[in-house]
Amino acid sequence: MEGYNAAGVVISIVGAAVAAYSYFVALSVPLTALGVGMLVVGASIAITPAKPVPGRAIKMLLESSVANTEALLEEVGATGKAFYVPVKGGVYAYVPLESASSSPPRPTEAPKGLVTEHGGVRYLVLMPPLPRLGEASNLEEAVTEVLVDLTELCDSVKVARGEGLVVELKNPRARVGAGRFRSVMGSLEACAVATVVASVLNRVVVVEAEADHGNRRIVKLKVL
Amino acid sequence: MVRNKNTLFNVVLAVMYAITVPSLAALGESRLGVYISMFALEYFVAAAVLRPRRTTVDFVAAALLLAFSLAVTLRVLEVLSS
Repeated sequence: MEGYNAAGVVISIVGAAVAAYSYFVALSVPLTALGVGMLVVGASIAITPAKPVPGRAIKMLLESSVANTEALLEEVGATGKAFYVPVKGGVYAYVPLESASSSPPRPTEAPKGLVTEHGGVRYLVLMPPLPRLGEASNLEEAVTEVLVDLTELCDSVKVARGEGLVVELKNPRARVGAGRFRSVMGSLEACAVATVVASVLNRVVVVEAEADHGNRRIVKLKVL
Repeated sequence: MVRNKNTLFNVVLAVMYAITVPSLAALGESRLGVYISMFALEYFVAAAVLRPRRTTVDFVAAALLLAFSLAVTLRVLEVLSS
């Protein structure tokens, strides 16, 4: 246990003692409340991660992953939009290597190689830079958990269902200038959103379009 | 300067509680349930705004929700029986 968390436990114990003494001996409600308050704050400190991975470090790791993927996409000359395909608990990005494929691949088991073939079309199979993290089952909560809470890639998320799925991201922060990655997989944020949506809905997802409006990014997803 | 939102949450919570207790005491409030209800409300508001990370299940929130429910139930019963 880190010193920070241990301090929380100590504050909780002192708070509990103050509350018990004030309630049973001093017979003072405000002092009892003060003890309860210390107990709550102490418990909150005790369950707060002392050294969370800084969002900035995560962003740097993601950006380096994007750069590697970008190099690979450039090498194979991929131009078609990636399909985010949920397969047995994970999500894989299937990038068509030939003329744009309109029907999505429906693999029944996890791909074994870098290149695989479905319905006569060859696909480059990649793990998206950001796997689905967290356990929320609600779509908006799951996207918020990954993009806001864990990676701090944006400030807030709104999900609307219409023709496909529209996701609005406030203050997206990743500044990845990789052109091929963006045109194939979407921006880093869109890629993360598509991965989470594919995982939660257990459906194939494509990043249809995205556009920046001031400090907001609108990502349109097609759910297949 | 508070470095991250997790620490900021704890600081904000402590400040809010430190304001709540003397304020209610100055108003002559003598029901413990009122203090605990305020603590619960402040905790949930701060948590909704700052969304702090937790190392375990947030049992503090669960305990406060339980205490708040109990305080409200007792108050309702008190009103109904009077």
